[in-house]
Amino acid sequence: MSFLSFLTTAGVEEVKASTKRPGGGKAKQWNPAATVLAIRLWKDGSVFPSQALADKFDLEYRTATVEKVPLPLKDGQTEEERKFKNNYYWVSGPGNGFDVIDSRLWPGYKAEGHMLFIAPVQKDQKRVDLFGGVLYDDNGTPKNSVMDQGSPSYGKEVLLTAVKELYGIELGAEREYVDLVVFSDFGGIDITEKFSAPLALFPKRIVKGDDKGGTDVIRREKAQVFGFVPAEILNPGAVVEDTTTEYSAEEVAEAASDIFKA
Amino acid sequence: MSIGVGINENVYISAVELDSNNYLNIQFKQKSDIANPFEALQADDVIDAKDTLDVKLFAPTPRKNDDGKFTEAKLVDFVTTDINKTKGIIQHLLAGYVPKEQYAIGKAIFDGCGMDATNYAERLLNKDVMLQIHKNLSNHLISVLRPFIGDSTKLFRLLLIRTSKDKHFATFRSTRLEENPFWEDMDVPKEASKLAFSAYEIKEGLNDGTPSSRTESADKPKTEPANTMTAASVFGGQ
Repeated sequence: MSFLSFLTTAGVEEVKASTKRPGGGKAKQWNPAATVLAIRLWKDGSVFPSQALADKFDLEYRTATVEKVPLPLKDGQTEEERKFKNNYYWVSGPGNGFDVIDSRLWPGYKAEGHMLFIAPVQKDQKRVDLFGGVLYDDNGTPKNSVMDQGSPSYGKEVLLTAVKELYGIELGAEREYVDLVVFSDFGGIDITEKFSAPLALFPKRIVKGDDKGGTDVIRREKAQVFGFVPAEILNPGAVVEDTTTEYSAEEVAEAASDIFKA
Repeated sequence: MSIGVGINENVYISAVELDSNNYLNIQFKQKSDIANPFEALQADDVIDAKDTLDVKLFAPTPRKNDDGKFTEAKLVDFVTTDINKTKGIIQHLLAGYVPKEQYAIGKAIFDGCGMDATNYAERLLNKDVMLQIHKNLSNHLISVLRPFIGDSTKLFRLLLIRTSKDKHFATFRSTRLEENPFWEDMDVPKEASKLAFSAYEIKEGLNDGTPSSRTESADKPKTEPANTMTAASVFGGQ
């Protein structure tokens, strides 16, 4: 089975109350179906990856080696009162998060239509949009798995608006979430090949400070770019309850060709 | 339209050479809608044909220490700082074109220097070794840049500062380049540009390219380059 075979079955499985969000709350299926490559965006901006996505892109937070660095003593502070700063290291690397790229803001993007893209990036790089960081305990153990962390900040500040403006999907009381599928091949278009480059300038929304709302760019090396589109746009017949219908790659391509005129 | 102190747009590297005086000359050219002097002279406006600028990088030179004022460690520190500035500039330029694994020079910086961890300080203070390091850095720039020299399809925004209060020649800033870059891809929207003069540069007048009262000839190299080493002469082609 190829990596891209998920395209033929892209959709969302029926919601079954099976897991509970850490810390309590109404039981919901927070993550997309385990086998699709997708991220579920909730109406509060929280984001949850599928298990397949976490595995493929190495998203899980790893146990870190902690180095305690003593901070300088302040006036009147005794040695017993000295504070320490934790530095974290990962023997086999920190794993990845994602940059999210809004084509409307992407320098150099040339295509008739607009959409979101996504690119894995090491968690220790600056300004990672999704799954970039987590809190650790003093032993270097992550306090959350990437599967249930559900950080809402980027989703609330950027992603909800982008999904509404680009895909016409507004989350709220009537609709609580959308599954955004991560894909490369689309109707014969190799998105990763077409949009990746040895050097890339990715747009970043400025979310605080005097320039809040503006756009910045960040330089990335060897970024692999993927499409990031709601499942229902990729697979127009799919509805939340439908877990059985499969669509051919040709059907998918035809239905969504209007956003891929590059 | 000419390149100088300030923020220059639509610029690319048109030539690089290590000349017979061991000056590393990096020539920038500004892309213009006017294709050549023939067209320029026929244009409605008077167009400054000087749309290129050479920025020079020099080899480090030993500090005078006849009175023994500086310790060896301090002297090593001076040279290391000078080399790091040149290395930073070169890698910053290359980062506009290639990923880090290609622009980082690594151990090759000491090729031909006879240097190891035990004799580092002693060798670094040798004038010939300083020159060799400068040549290594220069050749690294030339070799990595070779496919891109003269490529006017990839354009940059370039900030140049005045050399000093006395010298108005345009040059690169050389410290904290990650936070304060001196060039960036023209694809970066102007409103998102990170190029700006620092408060220090403005205070020192380094954002002003107006010639000082001192004669320019005092600042110019004493000799003209004779035989030059270019990417073409080293690698062929071009």
